Amino acid sequence: MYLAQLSKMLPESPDAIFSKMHQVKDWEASLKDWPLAHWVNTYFAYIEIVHFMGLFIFSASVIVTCLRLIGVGLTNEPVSVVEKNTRWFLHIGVVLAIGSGLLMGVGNADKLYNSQIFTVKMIAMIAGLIFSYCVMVPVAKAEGQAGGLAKLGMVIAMALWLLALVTFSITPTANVGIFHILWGGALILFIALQGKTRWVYAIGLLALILPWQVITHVFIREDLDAAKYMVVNKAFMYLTGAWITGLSLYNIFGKAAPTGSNAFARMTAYATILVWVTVGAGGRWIGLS
Amino acid sequence: MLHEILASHSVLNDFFGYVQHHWGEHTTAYGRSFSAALLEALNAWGIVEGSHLLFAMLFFGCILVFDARLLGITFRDVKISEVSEKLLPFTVISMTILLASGVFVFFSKPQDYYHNIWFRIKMVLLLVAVINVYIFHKIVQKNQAEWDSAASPPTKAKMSAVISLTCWVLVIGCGRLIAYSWFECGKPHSDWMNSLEECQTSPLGAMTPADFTRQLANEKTANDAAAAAAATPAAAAPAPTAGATKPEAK
Repeated sequence: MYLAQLSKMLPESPDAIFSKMHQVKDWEASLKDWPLAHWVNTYFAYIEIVHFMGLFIFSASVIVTCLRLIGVGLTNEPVSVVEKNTRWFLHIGVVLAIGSGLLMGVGNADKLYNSQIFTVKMIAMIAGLIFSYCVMVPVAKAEGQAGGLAKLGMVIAMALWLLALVTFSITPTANVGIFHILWGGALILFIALQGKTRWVYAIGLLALILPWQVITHVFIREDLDAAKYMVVNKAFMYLTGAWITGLSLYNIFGKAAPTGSNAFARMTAYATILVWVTVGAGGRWIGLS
Repeated sequence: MLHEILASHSVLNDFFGYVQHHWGEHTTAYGRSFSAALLEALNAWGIVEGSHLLFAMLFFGCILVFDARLLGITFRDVKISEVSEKLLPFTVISMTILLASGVFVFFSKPQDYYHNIWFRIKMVLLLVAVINVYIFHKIVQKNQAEWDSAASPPTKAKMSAVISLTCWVLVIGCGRLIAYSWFECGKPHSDWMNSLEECQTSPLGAMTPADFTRQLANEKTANDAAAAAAATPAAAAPAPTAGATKPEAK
């Protein structure tokens, strides 16, 4: 009943859509026979290095601009000046990363087509591009003020990022990669928080991480009681996640925050850095999952 | 004799081998060494590797912006000392954590890394980068007041920036190539590559292309002999006697 109603809403019948999906699958399967795929596989390591360099180059722009949006780093200059002077790093890095990424995709089409974590990476990458170009850049140009485009971009990119995070967290064998994003958030928070709150946060974080490591490696060991180990491990993960997320929101909405920034700018900075960490973590786990 | 002993023995190789394969094997889960336990730890490894990569990005980001300023590419209207002063805390903190997390990454497979050519090149490049920083602070910056506001700093400052960027780009490249086993000991390499990696002391040993060809020839000879023996029943096994039964299929 529901499916029948849904099929009426679709522009084409489900059979036609499935047929097209099969065409995509066939096209993907043919990629490995392309001469380009052979070339990519021969020089894969070098292309991968270009991919890495692209990530590192645009991270220079994203990190320096976002730190300024938070209110730290090059604070003697207006945020628009910081963005303007690092803009080319963003463009060059994105072109290098996406160009090399496309080549790597041609060489590994079969593996990536069937990889759930690759889907996560692609969703996060689209969110990252929206955050960078439609939110971070306009907000920086407007000295931290949010216009209509930035607000719309924030909503769309945030929804995509959350979708990527949820999919990441339910992807078997790769969901441990969420830890990288959590850790990225922890590090940004340490830089962003000001005054005593920074040290309260750091002590709280250590008070969670150290017992977590000791308990899960000495007292409740994976080899002796796997079920209990997983429960304790997840409990600590949620507690640490709650501590970091809670204090991030506390900081974003104006507590213990540097002067000269606002909530939207801080939200933009946190999200833009972390969405790219999600892309990186996704890429890392494609090879391992 | 002494030369042969030295050539086949390395205190560092033995030490890293012990650390990688045996240290802690009686105390950790599944009887793994501490190194293997760290490498396979769900969350501890995430902290180590995540920190290494995230701080590498923060470090390179700050270095790239500062070197680009020295080259006169970005922030041309901003004083060099201002860019340096504002970014230096991030570079120092990120480098400190990079080194600390790097020690843990090395600890996860010390013997493998010790013999890895990319790791060795990476360490040399790191040393060059550190020397470059020292020269920059001690020599190039001596008269920085004269060119602090210059849109295009003098050549010596630009040279320093080029060396710095080249070193860090190559360090990142080598870091990625460590994962590839092209030049792993035990594979056929030229003598100089075996020497550079000290393969003769590694558990996988040193092999030259000539050794490899000889090994293939020996294997072929052995296989041919086995095939010839199998083709001659009299030579392969005693003649069947009356009442002998076929061996049961396994």
